[in-house]
Amino acid sequence: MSAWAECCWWSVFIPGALWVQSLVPGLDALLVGVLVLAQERRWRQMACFLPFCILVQEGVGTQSFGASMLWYACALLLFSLGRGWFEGRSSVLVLLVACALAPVSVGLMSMLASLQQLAVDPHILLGRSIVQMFFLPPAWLLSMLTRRRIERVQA
Amino acid sequence: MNFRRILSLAIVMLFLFLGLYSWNQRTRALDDVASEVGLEVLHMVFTPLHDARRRVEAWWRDYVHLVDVQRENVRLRERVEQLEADLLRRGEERAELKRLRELLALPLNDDWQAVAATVLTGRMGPNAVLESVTVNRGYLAGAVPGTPLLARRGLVGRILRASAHTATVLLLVDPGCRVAVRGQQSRATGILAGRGAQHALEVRFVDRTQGLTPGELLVTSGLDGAYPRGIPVARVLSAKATEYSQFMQVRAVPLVQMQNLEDVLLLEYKGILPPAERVFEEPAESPDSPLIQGPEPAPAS
Repeated sequence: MSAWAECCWWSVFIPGALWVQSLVPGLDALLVGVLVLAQERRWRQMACFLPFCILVQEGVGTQSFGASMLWYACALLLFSLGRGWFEGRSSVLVLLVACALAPVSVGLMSMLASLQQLAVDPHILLGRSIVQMFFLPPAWLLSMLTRRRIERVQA
Repeated sequence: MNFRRILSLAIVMLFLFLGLYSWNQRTRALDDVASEVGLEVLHMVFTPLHDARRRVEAWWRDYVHLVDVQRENVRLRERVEQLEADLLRRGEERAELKRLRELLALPLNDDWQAVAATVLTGRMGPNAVLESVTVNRGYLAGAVPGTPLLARRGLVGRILRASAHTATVLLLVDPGCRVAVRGQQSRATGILAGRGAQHALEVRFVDRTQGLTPGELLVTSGLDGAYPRGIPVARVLSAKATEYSQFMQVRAVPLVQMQNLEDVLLLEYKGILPPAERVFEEPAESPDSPLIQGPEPAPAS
C-alpha cells in the first residue's frame, strides 16, 4: 500500500475506532490496528502507533498508568506465540488470540484494580471481555478486507 | 523467535513495567502525560462529531419532523402564559426572601461560578473501569480535579482528571464516590455512597433517632468540604432502623438519570480560600442558577 493510501486508511480507522469505543463501554477497538500491523510486520509503524494507543487508552481511562501497556504486551505476546503454530495472516490465529485475551483482560483489570484499591464489579469485567472477544475477529476481518481492496485498486 | 526467547523477553519487560509502574505511582508523571494526550485526542475527534450530530438533529427537528407542530404550538403558548403568571408570583416571593435574608444577615455565597459543559462520551476504553463520562471542558475552563458537576435536576459527580479541553467525570453512582448529605426536612446527616450503575445509592451513618423517611430529598451538607451546601442529590427510597446498629439502613435514587446525561454545569470555585478550608454557605441566588429552581420530581423508582 502506498504511503498516501496508508495515511488515509489510518486517518479513517483511528476516529472510527474511537467512535466505536464510545458506543461500547470497555471495548478496545484500537487493538485491531495493533494486530494488523503485527501481521503485516510493519514494526516502524508499530513503534508510532503502539505508544499512541497506550497514551489514548490510558488518557481516556480511569485507572493509573500501566494497564494498557500490559494489555497490549499480552496481546502481542499471545500473537507471537500463536504465530509459531499458525500462518501470520490466518483468521484462526486471530480467533484464538481473541479467545485467549478474554481471561487475560479479566485477570489484568482485576489485578490492577485491586492494586489501586478500586471497587470494580467482576460481572462488568466479564461482560466487557466477552464483548471484546466477539468484536475482535469481525473487526479484524473488516480491516484486512479494506486494506486488501485498497492494495488491489492500487495494483 | 523461539519460545525461550519470547519468555525471557516477557520477563524482562515485566520487570521494566513494574519499575515504571512504581515510579509513576509516586510521581504521577505518566498519568499526567496520558491524560493530556488521550483526552485531547478525544476532544479532537469527538467535538466535530458532536457538533455535526447536533446540527443534523436540529435540521431534522426544525425542517423535516414537523408532525403535530401546530398542536404543540398551541399547547406551548398556553404553557408560556401559565409560566409567566407563575414567574410574576415567584418574583414577589423571591424579593420577599431576599429582604428576609438581609434582615437575618445571612451571607450569600458567590464563591461558585457555573460553567456550562456538554457530555462527549460515556465510559470509554478498556481502562475505564469506574462509572464515568467525558465532558468538553478542561482545566483551561476551570474543570480541575475535584470540581463538582450538576445537571438540571441535581448533582452528577466531580471531575476526576482533566486535560486542557476535556475532562473525565466520576459519577455519583460509582462505588468510589462519597458525598456528605443531609435530609431536607429531617436535617439528618449521612454519607452518600455509590454502589454501581445498576444499584441504588447507600446513605451511611444516619443516626436512627434522626427520623429520615422514604421520599425525603437529600441535599449536600457541605460538611465534606468538596461540594457547596444545598445541592439536591438523591431521593430516599427506603430507610430502616435495625436492632443491632445505631445507624439506619438507607437506600436512595439519584435525581439525575446518569444514562442520559447531555448538558451539565461545572461549579468552578472563585473564592479566596480553597474549598477544603472554608465553611460553605448557601449557594448563590443568581436567576440563572439551577440550584435555586429546586429539584424536579424524581424518576419513578
